[in-house]
Formats: sequence, structure tokens, C-alpha cells
Amino acid sequence: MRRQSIQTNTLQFIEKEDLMLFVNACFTCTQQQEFYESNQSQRLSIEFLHDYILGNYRQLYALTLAAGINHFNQSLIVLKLLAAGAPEASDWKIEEGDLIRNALKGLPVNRVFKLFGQLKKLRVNNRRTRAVIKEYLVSRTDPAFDAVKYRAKVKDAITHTHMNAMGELGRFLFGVKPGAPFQTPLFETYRKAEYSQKAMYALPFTVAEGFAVKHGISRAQFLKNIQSNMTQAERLRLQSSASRERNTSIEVDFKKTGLTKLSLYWLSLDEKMRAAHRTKMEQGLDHQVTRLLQGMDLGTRKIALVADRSYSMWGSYEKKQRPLAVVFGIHQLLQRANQQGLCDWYKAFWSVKPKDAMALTPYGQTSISEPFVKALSARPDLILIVSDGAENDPPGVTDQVFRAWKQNFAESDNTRVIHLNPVYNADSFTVKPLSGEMLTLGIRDAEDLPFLLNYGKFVEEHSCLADFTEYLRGKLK
Amino acid sequence: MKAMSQSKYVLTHLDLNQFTLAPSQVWGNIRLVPVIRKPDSAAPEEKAKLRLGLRSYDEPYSIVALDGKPSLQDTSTCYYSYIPHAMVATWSNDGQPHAAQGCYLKQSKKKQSDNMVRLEYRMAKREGLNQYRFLPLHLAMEGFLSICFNGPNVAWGEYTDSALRFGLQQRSERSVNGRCIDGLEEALRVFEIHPNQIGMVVFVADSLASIFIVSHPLDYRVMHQSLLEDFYGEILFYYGATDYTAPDLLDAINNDLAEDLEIQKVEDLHKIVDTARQSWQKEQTGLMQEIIGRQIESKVVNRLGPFRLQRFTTDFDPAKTNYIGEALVRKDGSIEYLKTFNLSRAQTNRVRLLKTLADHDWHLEQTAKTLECTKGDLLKRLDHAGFGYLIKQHLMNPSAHRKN
Repeated sequence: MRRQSIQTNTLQFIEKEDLMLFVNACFTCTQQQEFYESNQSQRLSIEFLHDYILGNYRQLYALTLAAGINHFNQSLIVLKLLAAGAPEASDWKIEEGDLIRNALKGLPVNRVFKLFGQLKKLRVNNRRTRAVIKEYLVSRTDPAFDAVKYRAKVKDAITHTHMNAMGELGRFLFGVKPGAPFQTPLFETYRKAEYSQKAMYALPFTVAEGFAVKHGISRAQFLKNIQSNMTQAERLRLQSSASRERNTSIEVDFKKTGLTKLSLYWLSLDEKMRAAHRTKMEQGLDHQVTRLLQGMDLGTRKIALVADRSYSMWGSYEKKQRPLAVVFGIHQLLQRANQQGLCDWYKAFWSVKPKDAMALTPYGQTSISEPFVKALSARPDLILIVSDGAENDPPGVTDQVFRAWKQNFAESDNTRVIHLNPVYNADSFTVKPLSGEMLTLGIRDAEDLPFLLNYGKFVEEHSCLADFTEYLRGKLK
Repeated sequence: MKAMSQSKYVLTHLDLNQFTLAPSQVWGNIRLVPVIRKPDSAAPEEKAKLRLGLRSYDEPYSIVALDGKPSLQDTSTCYYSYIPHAMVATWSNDGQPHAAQGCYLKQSKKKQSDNMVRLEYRMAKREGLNQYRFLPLHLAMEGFLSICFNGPNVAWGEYTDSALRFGLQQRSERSVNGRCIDGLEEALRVFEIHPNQIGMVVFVADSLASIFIVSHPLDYRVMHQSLLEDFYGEILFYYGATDYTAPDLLDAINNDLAEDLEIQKVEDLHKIVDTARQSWQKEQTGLMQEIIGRQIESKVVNRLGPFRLQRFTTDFDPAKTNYIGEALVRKDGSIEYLKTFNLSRAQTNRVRLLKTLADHDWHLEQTAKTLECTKGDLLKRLDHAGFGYLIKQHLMNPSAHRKN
């Protein structure tokens, strides 16, 4: 997609560039507002990019599903593939089918049903689409639970595919509302919840919430009693809602939440709360990191992290502190890896040094070049730069430092430098690089780090599209 | 007074040598340059401390009685404007920390005022022993409007009776609110404040819009958004609307900084960063050449303990952009507060005309000679500048007079 490269380099190079660009985009973009960009420009950009890749490299487009990209892009790829119709070649067809099936299995249920809703809205109703939806619905282990929790969406999916909804499921979804008693316990609970508060508390949180309003139960009372039916994500999400009510609190199990989610929650707390929960948080981090590091080989002895904590890492109202949470998560991960002896030496070099890494806030200017020089001077094996790439103190100097270093010292020092960027840049259809010559990868979660290190190595060593395809096929198996 | 003007208290020219200009942050055609104070040799504890705070005014319009008498009754001169906030300065002589009263960060219990007009007494007013309230930038603007406000001091025949008796009837100038400058709001939102930043230089389409400096980094953080509420020279509205992208100054300097540097070991790479910083500082100072080092005329408004509040103007040279502003200066000449406003060409011409008249005791022929035009031309210029009412009608428009 770069005009310059077309003139100077081979077709292979362009193909690789395009693909790297697409994988980076698929790791970072969620069509949400960013610090410097609106959701509108993000939407236009990612939609175009998907169409471009689908049109030119359909096989690879489908294979990207296996690369561990984020949920938003997975569902968008499935949507575009289904909308484009099945490919002619039979082996492609089978491979795509497998990829779609696996992707849907890995996606959260709500996202899958949202995707089905989008298919209906776009009036994508070819035979393959119907088969995919049907297969998914049939494969669900507890269809009654899905029907209760995602009632409207399941209804949409069933009508869209002309499925036969016989028996109680059909009556529950399409029948007259109060109706006769059900045999299925959950349907019966749902029916009773119209009249009984006790039955209401046995329903999933989001469903019960509506009934609570109907029964006129106070928010505090409701939150207190429904806690056993909340998912972990709901517990985190409702912290501030609960804190508004008097004498109400929702317990959070720090050990059950993933690293980035946990970091996001931690960064959302104010100073007082952070001081109160610090020990619990540290234990939670220990637990999460140990789980992540099990059987993982960082493959390097000395690691330096150049961490950007500038104000722009605050993100946006739609993704609050997401970029900062990635920095925080990676720092905690590497710090603990060092403590556990997985690497010999680790140090973080901050854009503006925080007094305490646990009390991290987005603050100050984006000064990357200075900590980068310090990191280079320590001569580590690997330097990770985590930044949104909007360098401004002074702008563009990291590029110059990197080029000068590469020219003079790269051979003797043998240091790998990777820039991880959590923010998608709509104008360039990829993440914003600090230097054109530096390996720049998109990152969504701190948990992706092991994969990205592996992927980064592959990208550095191989340059042709066929290798790429093989690499992604390897992921599939 | 003479001894005072020689001391460092009063600014004779503007320089920002005591500050570092960090590399600018650009958003479209807005360039924002962070100002950081250079580390001081004197122990900071011994120095008197100055803190500034904002006191917001809700009223859409304000009237300030300039002589401090009850406004609209006994006042002879009033200043009318929209005033979004007042600035409150508190200081301590012993280096103890202070915060301005009425400017604490606390939850507001005050209901929004229902008044449509706010009545204030004086542009700058003492509020107790160590506290002082002034209306930022309006203080400088009022000083600008009051230049030659008394009118002719010699009763030449050409002037009307009212001009001789009461001086200028009223003076008004236009400016634009920060919100009217396209992109400024977004530029301020995405701006990343440096940890020890104490000020900001605002460029619109690389033309200087304002220099704003306070004494304490925390005060700056609070006042960062107030740059949007301030008023700017009219021309900046048009500059803001231009389709211009402020360029990366580094490209203009040198695309390869490492070329001329001696880099022996990895640690030497620091030199690249340092060179880049120095180049930025130089280039950005270059952008401000119209105001840096220029002769300015300052007038002390009041003394605030060890500080002097003053307003200043440049020399009204019609070939250059002219500025007015206000400053709080410490005994050793260090600037603790600074705010500037750039005048349009028409504004410069108006005040230059008045000043030249005043220099010649309002004698029209002599003034015309200095300005190298005829008396008739001068009268025309006065009329265009909005001062026609000072001259008798039959002189202003002789042909019309003859017809009748």
C-alpha cells in the first residue's frame, strides 16, 4: 500500500508489508475512539483495509483468524468472508470453513450473536451463512441458557436461518409471553420471575436487572442479592455502580481476572483505593503472571523496557487507559519473570519516571529517545518499546538514534529492538512506527507478549508470503 | 520613579533566557510550545513564593469601574467586556507555600449566578495583606485603550468643544475568543503537559498568538484550559481557518543529526537528543523574533510584596506586528507571570496616530509633517481610524459644508 515501495522493491516485499500491516491492524483496531482519532475515522479505515486484503489475498485473510488477533477483527473477518460467499476451490472452502468454525468457538458468545445480528442486518443469507449459524447454535451445550440470556439475538438468528424451533425453546422464544408452565427449569424460572422476586434472583444478572426495575427493587438491594449470579467481567464493570450505593460492595477475585483486564481495573482506581487493595492486587498479579509464564521461554537473558506513560496513553472515553494498561501489564509481567528467574536482568526506562510503578497514571510528554538511549547503553539482548508512537519530546529523534545505533553498533551489540504499539492509526492503516526501520508490531493485550515475540522473530527472518501462509497454517494445527 | 525604572523590576525588553522552550506539539495549524523554567542557582526555599489561581466569573458581561468608585453611579470611566475569570495572586515573603483564597480545588456549592452583568471595582485590586486580584489580559488591554485617552492638551481651533473638554469619548477594540480559533480546543486537549511546565507559547499557522507564563507548574496545570477562554488578536481567527499544517521543525534543521556528531560509544547517542533539543529551542525562538529582544515600554501597575505587576506595549512600529501584555516580575528580573496579546495592523495604526498627535501637542500641521502627509490627509486618516468626532464637522467634510 506504499507508493514508494512499489517503485523500489519487489512484489514479494509489498505482499509482506501488506500482510504485516493487516496483522498489526487486527491486533489493535477495535473501531473505537482513540486519543488522537475519532471512531468514525477508525471505522472507515479498518473497513477499507479489510476489503482491500479480502480482495487481494483472500486465503491469507482467512488465515489471519488463526493469528490470535482481537475479537473485533475476528468477527469482522468472519462477517466479510460469509458476505463474500464461498470460494471456488474446494480445499480453500474446507480450510475457510474450519477457520470460521474455530474462530466462532473461540469468540465470546455475545460477540457471536452480535455477528449473527449484523449478518441479518446486512441481509447476508447464503447457504454457507445459514449452515454456519445453524452449526453454531446446535453446538451450544446449554441452548436454554443462551435463549434466556440472549433472547432477542437468538430469536434473530433462528428466524434468519429459517431454523425449526420446536418444543419448549420455540414456545419460549416465539410464544405468548406468560404462557403455560415450562418443563425446562431455566425457562420456568424466567416465567416465574415475572411475578416472583425469588425466581428473579436465579436468573443471569443482565436478565434479572430488567425484572428488578419491574418489581421496584432498590439498586443496592438488588446488587447485594444478585452477586452470586454475576460473571467476573460484570463484577469488575459494576464496581463504580455499586460504590454509588450506600453499604454496597461487590467482591472482586483478583486471581480470576486476566492480566490486562486486571491492569485496566487497577488503573481505574484512585489513590485511596489503590492503597487499600495493593496487597490483593500484587497477589493477583503474581497469580496471573505465573499462569502466563508457565512453560514459556522468553528466550533472552537481559530485557529492557522503554515504557511510554505519556498523557496520550490515557486512550479515550471508549477505551479508557487501554494503552497504559498494556504498558502496566507488560512491566508487571517482565518484572515478575525476572524475579522468578526467567530472565537474568530486567529494567524499565520510563518516559517520565513514576514514583511507584503501582501508582501509574498517564502523565507528561512522550519522550522516547532519552530512555531509549539509556536502554541501549545498558546493552540488553532485547529492548521492547511500548508506546503509541506519537513522540513529541523531541519528535522524530528516536528514529535518528535508532539509525545511528544500527549503523555503528548493531553488529557488536546484538540487541533486538521491537516497538509494540497498542494504538491503531487510521491514516496509515497500521500502527504508528517510531522509526521506519524498527520492527513495529500492534498489541492488544499484555498477554499477547509471548506470541508477539515469536511472531516478531518470524517476521525478521522471513520475507515471503508463502512462509507467512505456512506460519499461520502452523498456528491452526 | 526614575530609580525604579532602572532596576530590574521593570521590563525594558522581553527575553525568555530564563526558560527552556521544549519541542512543540503540533495539531493541524496550531503549534503549542511548552515553557519550562531553567533550574535556578539560588536555593528555591529562600525565594519568595508566588501562586496564581483563577476565580471564574459566570456572568456573560462585566463592567469594571476603573477608579474604584461604585460603578454606574459616580464612576467617570468604565471598562466593558466579557471577562471569564479573574486571576488571584498570593505570595509569601518567607518561602512558605501559599494557595490563593477563593481558588481552592473544592466542590462548588455556589449556585450559578443569575446576574447578566458583573460589576467590578478596579482592574487590579488588593485583597488583604498578601493577596491581589487582577483581570488577566484585560489589564493590558485597558492600558492600551487608555493611551492618550485625555485628548488634546492644547485648545487648537480644529478640535470640537467636547474633545477639548472631555477627551476621547470612548475607545473600543475587537478581539476573538480562543474558542473561535479553529482547532485550538482540540490542540489543547491532546497537548501533553510536561511535569514541570510553567507556561505555553501558542502559535496559530506559525504566527505568535500568545505567550502565557505562570510561576508554578501546578498553577499552569489548572490554567491550561483557560487558554481557550482568553482573547486573541482578530487576525488569528483567520489564521486558524487556513488550511496550513505546522511543519516539523526538525526537517527544516537537519534530517540527519548524527552526521556531524562524534559517536564513539553507545552512550554518545545522547548527543543526538541534546542537539535536537537545542535546535528546537533555537528554531522556536526564531519564530518569536518579532517580540523577543524588542524594546518594550512598561508601566508598573502595583507592587505585590517582592513582585511588580506591570503592563507593557511594544513600540507600535507599523512595519512589524506589535504586542501588548502584562507581567509580574521579581526583584532579580525573573518573570513570574506573563501574558501577551498581538495587535492587528489597524489597532497599531490607531494608537500610533494618537501617539504622534500627543507627541506634537495635538498640533495637526506638525503631526501631518511627521507623518509625511497633508493636513487634509491626516484628517481623513483620523476619520478612518474612528477619531473623526474629535474634529469640527466643517473641517472634516468641507465640500458637504459648502453645499449646504
